[in-house]
Amino acid sequence: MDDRRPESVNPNTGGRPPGYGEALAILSGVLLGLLAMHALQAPQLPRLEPLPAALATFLPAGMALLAGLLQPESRAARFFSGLPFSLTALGFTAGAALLGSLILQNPSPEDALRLGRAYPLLQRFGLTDLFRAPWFGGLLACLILALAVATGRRLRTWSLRNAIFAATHLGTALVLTGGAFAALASRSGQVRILEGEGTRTVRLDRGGTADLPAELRLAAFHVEPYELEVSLTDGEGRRPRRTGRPLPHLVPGANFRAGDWTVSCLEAIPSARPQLSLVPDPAGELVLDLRLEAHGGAADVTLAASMGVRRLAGGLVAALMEVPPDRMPEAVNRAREALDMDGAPGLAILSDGTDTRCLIRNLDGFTELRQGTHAFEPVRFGALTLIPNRPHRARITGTWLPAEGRRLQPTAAARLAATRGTERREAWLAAGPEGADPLRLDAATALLLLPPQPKRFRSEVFLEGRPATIQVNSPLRLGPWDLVQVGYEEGPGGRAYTVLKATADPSIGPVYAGLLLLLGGVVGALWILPRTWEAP
Amino acid sequence: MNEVLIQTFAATLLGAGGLLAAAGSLRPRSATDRAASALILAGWLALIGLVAWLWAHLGRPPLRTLGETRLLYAAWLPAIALFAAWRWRTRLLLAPMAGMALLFLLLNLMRPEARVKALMPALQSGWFVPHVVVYMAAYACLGLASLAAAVLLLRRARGIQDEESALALPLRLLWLGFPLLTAGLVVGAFWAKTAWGDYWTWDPKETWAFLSWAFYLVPLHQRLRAGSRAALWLPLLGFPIVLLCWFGVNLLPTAAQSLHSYSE
Repeated sequence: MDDRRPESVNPNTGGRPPGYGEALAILSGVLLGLLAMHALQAPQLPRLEPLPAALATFLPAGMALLAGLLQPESRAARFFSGLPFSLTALGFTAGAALLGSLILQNPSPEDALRLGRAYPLLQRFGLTDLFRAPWFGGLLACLILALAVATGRRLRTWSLRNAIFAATHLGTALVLTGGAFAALASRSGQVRILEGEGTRTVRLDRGGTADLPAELRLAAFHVEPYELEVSLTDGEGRRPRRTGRPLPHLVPGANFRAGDWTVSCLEAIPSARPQLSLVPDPAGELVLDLRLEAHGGAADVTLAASMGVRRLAGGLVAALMEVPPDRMPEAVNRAREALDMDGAPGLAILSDGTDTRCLIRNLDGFTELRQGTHAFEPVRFGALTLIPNRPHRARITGTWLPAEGRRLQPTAAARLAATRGTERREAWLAAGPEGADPLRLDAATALLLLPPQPKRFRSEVFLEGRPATIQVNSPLRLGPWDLVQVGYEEGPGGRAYTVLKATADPSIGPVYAGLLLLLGGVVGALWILPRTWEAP
Repeated sequence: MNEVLIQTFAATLLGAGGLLAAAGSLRPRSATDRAASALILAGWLALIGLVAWLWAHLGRPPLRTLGETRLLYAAWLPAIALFAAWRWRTRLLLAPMAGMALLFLLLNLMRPEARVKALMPALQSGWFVPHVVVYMAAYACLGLASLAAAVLLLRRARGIQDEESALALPLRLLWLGFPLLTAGLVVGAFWAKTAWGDYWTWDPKETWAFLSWAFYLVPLHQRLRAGSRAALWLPLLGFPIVLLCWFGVNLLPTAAQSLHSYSE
């Protein structure tokens, strides 16, 4: 059974039109030539102003379209608009794109090292930045040529079928040409502003900076966290287990079934930023108030010397120690060894009644704070910040006991109570960027606190004196720049940095028009036009 | 009400419908045929009900994870198969469709996921639902086209001559699904511009979306005759590429560079 319509003979030029063999030869030659040039010279895509970039991209595409319109039966027009050339160009482009999806693009130095000897070779041929390589642009240019000439040829004669053909092919050509225009003329980068400050600087992705038309001032940054969620897993905390219905949010008082257990949430801290406050106790015992502050929530934890070592939210251990007079240096060393042995972030407060030290072990090492010797600086434990704010003087009792545990960089915590018959378990769960430790209830059941996520975050900005809001999916236009909210970071003094992506892309109009034309054309071609090849 | 019970109920209805459809193929337009259609329709409604129930309990569209998209895919399959049976008067696809839907539902039962209510800010967009729903509809059309082609090739190998309406089924499903695939791509580009600042970044997921779209341009341009070798093999080979785009991208070494990693 013949799959296709019979080949036609051109009455004007005579002979068989060029086929797949010729297309393959020409495109292979073009590709090999461009690859060789890339290997020898390693060219970079130039950065052009919009007008020259438009002339470099839309003008040749327009000329190709005109050539198809004015000389539709020429050998060149028939070749470039024919299926052999078009589908071969598409095949080459798809093959290159496939390579780009398999090879790490713009690898980090670590990834480059892992690639070993292959990396220089890949880099030489532009395979590590494939989609910006001029030879890939050359393949896209061949596709644009085919589409533009085909469109021009069809525009000579009006019919609904030709109009729909032109829409699909012109739409695709516009999208690809717009993409090429963007590669030459668009700029993108990052804008990072600390709360309370302003900037006009865009740090460009390709290096260097650019200026926004006006200063953007970040008045306030707001983050709204989701309520905490917990997942029911197998006994190892690895594989999720079915629960029948989604578990409720972890808010104090929430209850749910987990296997044979009934679980209640006693405390929940969606995002932990503790403040350490040392206060004198009227009874003469050192009392440590640790306040974990959340965006919208808080929990207070009190340490007293009689409690010994306590494990706080997220595996943070804390202890108070009474030290005999003149034995402070030895006690500090012992505490330091004990904290080091434990491995978890922790703090030990030691006092002999006059000299009080706060020894803090964070993930990078130790910090020792002494009353009156210097201002207490904020200390970070991953995402936790301890900000001592008042010195104290007190007599303490208690002993230091090392505790077991793993390191965590907690950013959220919840205290749960699980009961099964007469059994009762109560524990803190914590989660952070590096994961979470499960609470193992039995061999088949564990609870895992899911990493906390922001529900919403937004930047309240001032632009030329006028307030505006930038949030995810709701960008702000500033001159030629689109400012998109992409993230945030913690900054000094509890303030936040907003992270915005800035793009100035003059191709957006033609690309959007091309996409709509393409979609309309495809719907018209396949859902509206009668098809003429149905019968076998 | 229990998610597993609803899913099992839907799977039972679809399975029973599929078996009756297979039996009814021996005696077209019989009561068996009608019962098969009714059961498949009921199974489809149960799946739609499950999607709605999940949406209500999660407080967000259940379209985020691989399991949730598998559920939506399984929910589209009966609708498109029933449409094809009504529109093109061929019941060839009903039984195999039930098998495919059962396979995807079984995958979900075997690989339970944590039902996370949180939806990251980038997904809190009016584009989210249209993008995923249209894509899953497209995948269902293309998956059924592949399935129809496989069935026809098997029947041809056994010497069975099929009617014209059956032979045209793979191409018809392609022509139904390709505009949906294009719409998913276009909606994704508009959304990416507002969420990420760029309409296209050659992200691994986007690259494979382009590759699967480009593959289907080949049969589209060939003007194939229904029932020909190319008209059967091309749709058959297309769906594995779609599956690579849907699931396989997450296994690539470049997956970590993908902005679409929230699907896990």
